[in-house]
Amino acid sequence: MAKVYRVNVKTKAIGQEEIKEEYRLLGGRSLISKVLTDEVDPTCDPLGAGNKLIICTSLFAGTTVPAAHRLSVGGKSPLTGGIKEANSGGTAATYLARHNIKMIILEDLPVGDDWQLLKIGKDGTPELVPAADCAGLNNYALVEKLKERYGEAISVISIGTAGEMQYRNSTLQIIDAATGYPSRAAARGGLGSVMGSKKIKAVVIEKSASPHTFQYADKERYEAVRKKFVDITINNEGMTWLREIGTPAITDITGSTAILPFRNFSGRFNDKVGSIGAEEFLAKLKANGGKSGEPCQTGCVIHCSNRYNDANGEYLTSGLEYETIALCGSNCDIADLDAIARIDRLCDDFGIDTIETGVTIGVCMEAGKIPWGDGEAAAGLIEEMKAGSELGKILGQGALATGRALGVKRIPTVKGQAMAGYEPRNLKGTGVTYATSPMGADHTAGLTLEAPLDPLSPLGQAAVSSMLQPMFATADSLMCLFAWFSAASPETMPELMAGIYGGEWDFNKVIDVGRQSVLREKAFNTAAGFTAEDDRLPEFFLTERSPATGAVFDIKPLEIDGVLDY
Amino acid sequence: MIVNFNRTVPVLFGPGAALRTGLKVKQLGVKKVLCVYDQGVKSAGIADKIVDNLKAAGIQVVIYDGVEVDPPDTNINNAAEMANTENVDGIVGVGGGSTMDTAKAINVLLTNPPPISRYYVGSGNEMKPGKVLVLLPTTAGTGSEVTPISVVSDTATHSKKGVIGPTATATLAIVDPELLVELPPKITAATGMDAFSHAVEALTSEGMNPMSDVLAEKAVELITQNLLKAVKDGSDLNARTNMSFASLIAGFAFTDSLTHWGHAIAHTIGAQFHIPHGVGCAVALPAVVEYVADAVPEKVWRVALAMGLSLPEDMPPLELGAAVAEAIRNLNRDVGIPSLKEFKVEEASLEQLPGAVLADDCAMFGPKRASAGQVLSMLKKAYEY
Repeated sequence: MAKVYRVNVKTKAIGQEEIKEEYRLLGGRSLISKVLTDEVDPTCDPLGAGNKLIICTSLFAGTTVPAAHRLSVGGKSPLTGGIKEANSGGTAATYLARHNIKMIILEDLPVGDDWQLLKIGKDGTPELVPAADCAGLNNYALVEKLKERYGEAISVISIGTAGEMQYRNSTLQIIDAATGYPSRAAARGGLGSVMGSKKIKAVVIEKSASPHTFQYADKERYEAVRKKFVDITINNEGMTWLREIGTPAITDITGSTAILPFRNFSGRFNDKVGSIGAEEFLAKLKANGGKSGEPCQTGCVIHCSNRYNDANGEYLTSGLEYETIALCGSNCDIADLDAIARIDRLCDDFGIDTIETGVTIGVCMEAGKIPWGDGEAAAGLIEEMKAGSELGKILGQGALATGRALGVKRIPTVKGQAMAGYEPRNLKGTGVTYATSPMGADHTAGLTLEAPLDPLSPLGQAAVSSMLQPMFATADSLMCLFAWFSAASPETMPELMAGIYGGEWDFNKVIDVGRQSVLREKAFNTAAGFTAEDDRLPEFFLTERSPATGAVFDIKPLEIDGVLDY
Repeated sequence: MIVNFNRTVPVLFGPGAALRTGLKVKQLGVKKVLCVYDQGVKSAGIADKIVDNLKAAGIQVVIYDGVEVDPPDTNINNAAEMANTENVDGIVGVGGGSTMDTAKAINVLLTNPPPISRYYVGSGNEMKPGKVLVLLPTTAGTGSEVTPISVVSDTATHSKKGVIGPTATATLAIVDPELLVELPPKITAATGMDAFSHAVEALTSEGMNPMSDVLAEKAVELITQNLLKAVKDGSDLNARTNMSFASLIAGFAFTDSLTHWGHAIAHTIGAQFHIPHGVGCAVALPAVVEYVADAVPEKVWRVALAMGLSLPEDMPPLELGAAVAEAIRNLNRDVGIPSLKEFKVEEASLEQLPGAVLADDCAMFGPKRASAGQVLSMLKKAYEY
């Protein structure tokens, strides 16, 4: 049975448990929701002793399924006040799985101000290590220091100084497989601040000296379907854009349909979309020696990541994703990929969510704090956060707090979390997902970009969001979302589950993993005090027409209220 | 009976729909568009909004703003020459019937050699498919946004000619009632009665098309209920929306069932006395309904029901026709449609018109034939009421 480490940061006691039998068929998002339901009072202070930070692997971690190793982090969100699971690629889940560690739970609050590392040794032994010399470092310098100390063969899950300062937009960063830099983020919901509240600067995982061998329930059955799964993934022509370009390719699609946010979700077309589109992105990579088609984790056959160099050919950032381009770029009318990449690097290094940050900057621009399109000024706002100035501290509380402080009427958040890179009036199904997901406005909870519906019509949007949310929650419980969407089907997934974990599965049973998770999350939020009124988009989306389409968000509350009634 | 259901134009409908013009045009693969409108639409500020919307979507825009009422063939030839020089790959027409007819005819000449007269009905010249044609009506009347007809004023013969077929049909209609809120009451009334005539004539033509019938009935009902409201208060968006919808479905209705005596008369008196088309239709219609009542009493009965009239079920056809005709005249009076007399037409001059009425294409589609004397009788009833 896989191991669970339970770390009490107050007593510094580390307990080792076997994963409970009832958790055996849970992983990632579904395991997070179960553990939080079982162990955390929904009314607790997210930055108090009652909250826990759960770090766990996906259900397929340890197997040879492509892109199986996803790391999930969870807790009560300081940003939304509700349940939160954020996940990421990178090397950490692979390293944990090789130690046969399924979950780490950080509990309580420490006495005093001493920072610690949680180190998992080569033999899998966990230990709290004093980390006074690491405090105050941001992620890139921190990882460099840790590699100097522990060698290259480590994975790191860390917070930057944003997490130390308990900013509600702070992330946990994870080392990227292709570049070795801390550029992958469990970004949403401010969980970096939860780790910060527990004064754990990083989890350092040394490479296992004797890697755990996964015990398949039926190896033969598994291998047969795994081969099929890999074949489908590799040959899925619908996904080749992910390898050739990566998620920045989405900019072209959303830019041409006014789904791409522009100037704080104005609903207008971005007239400079060509400057941040796929063609320009690839041209920049080529000109500066960057690269697309990179893997963020070992064992991936999709390779959607990238390495982005500056004009001098020096590494600037990696994993520059669509959401960052959409929100730190288009939403702020910043039409310069180099400037966006610099912001991405600042965010990864400091440890803040690029989505929350992009929306926060957009709100500041709407307030007239800095001009639209000014990449330098946008980076300056991040520097304010780093410096901890009065404005910086407000910015660090996210877009809603910033917008309120600056008197902005149009603040594109749900449950206190900033919207991702999709204008909900022009992609209404995703608007429904923003409204109803227990996670707050979140695209990975049920993005409807590929749904065969008119995205501007209300018709079918609630139903498609309702259908997709359990599927996305299942994907986030099992593996990488892109791997799921490359090859998951009623033919492959039940066989994979049966081959790996035994038992008989059908597709509905697989999706039930996510469905039950969403229901637990909703119940957690209800217990935390959320009501139907929290499942609403900001009013301006209902009353202001998108100038590019004439659309308003017109899905009726009655429909929205039934979306998660399974 | 075997009938055609030929309604083929996709429609984007609703308040604010015009804001989606750029997106739709782009999605239709157009990069450079000829935007066609008249000075009225420009001075109302509508044209600039559409042009800006197209540009915001990244579309290059070439402008033709020289549309005239009853568009002459020469204008169309000139505009098409410009469009071809500019190498546009689509047309957006914003305006009333004349603008939409102009846009349709220009579209013919984007892919077919000029002049437009080569393609008049009966010429026998085939037309290749046109380019992308998007039409936005700024009146609720003509239905041209969904019909396959462009009416052109031929300067050589001083007559109206039709260009008919898929090339003269929109790729997409965008019907936005908000474009109508500034439309003056007189034009609202006249165009609204044009739509009413489309519906009543489609319902009573010899087309006998069940799909057209239900659309026409609904159009009659909506216009009866909403035209006066739209005339009295142009900013009544609910009334405008109902009128735009009625006009649209009446356009669909007469695409398959066609109009008949009312339009034959309207075309004739329009050409002779320069009476707006909608007014011509409105003044002709009551007499036409009376005339055809014995041929299609059940259809006239459906008009009566759609207008909300309470009539005895066993009413003889002629009395039924008279009752419905009177109801239509009342509607005309309510919305301020003047009679021919009020247009200073000499009653005696009507005597010369029946020949032209009988020669009009629409005269073919009535549910019963008419002699010159019977046509004159209809004309006289339109003279004063």
